[in-house]
Amino acid sequence: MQNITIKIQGYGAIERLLPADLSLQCQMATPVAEIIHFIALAYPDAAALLKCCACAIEDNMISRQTELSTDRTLVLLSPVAGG
Amino acid sequence: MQSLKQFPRIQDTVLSADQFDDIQVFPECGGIAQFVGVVRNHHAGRAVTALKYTAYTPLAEKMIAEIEQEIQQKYDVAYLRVIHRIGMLAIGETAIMVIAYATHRREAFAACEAAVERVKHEVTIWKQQFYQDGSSEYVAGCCIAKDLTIS
Repeated sequence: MQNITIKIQGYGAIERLLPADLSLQCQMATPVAEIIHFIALAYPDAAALLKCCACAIEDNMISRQTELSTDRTLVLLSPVAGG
Repeated sequence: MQSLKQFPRIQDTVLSADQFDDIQVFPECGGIAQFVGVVRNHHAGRAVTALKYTAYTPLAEKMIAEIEQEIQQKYDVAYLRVIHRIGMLAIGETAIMVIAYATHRREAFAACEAAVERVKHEVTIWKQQFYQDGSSEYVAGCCIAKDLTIS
């Protein structure tokens, strides 16, 4: 099966716990949950916060069941605190 | 009705109420409520020297537009707008401005407060506090993930 490249972009507190240039290769149709699980294993200090992160592609929130089938930037959104 | 002013809801320069449409555009409205949030010099007993706001702007713009629409309908207000600052802010600088025009004051106040609450708790904006002792931290926020199961 063909591989795709997923670039990871973190916002909020998760940004401090992951490398700025994080990207990974995975198979087509990999669910977001699996990608996050892999990141949590590779960066254990980020594991707890990853559980609370929402996910987005461009200007859409996506569920962790979403399967990624093309090269994308997966945005990790820490708990928010505006105002 | 004349066309309303267009402006980004997330801005990296000093916020100004001049961006909002005038109340005269809405002659049926008799009440204006406005909230201005500014940076204060303390948090949880610690001295704060500055705040840094960041946003995931593509989503934040969309979310604020949706919140404005939903609150306008829910509280029956003619006009509701929110602008939020990002970047490094000094003590006393304005972080958020919300304005509501309604027929009566109660709807205007309620809509204004509801908008502030929703933006604080739902929109992809983060606040980093810088303390007098040189340390900094992200303010603990609200989880906006709809599904939290990691396989």
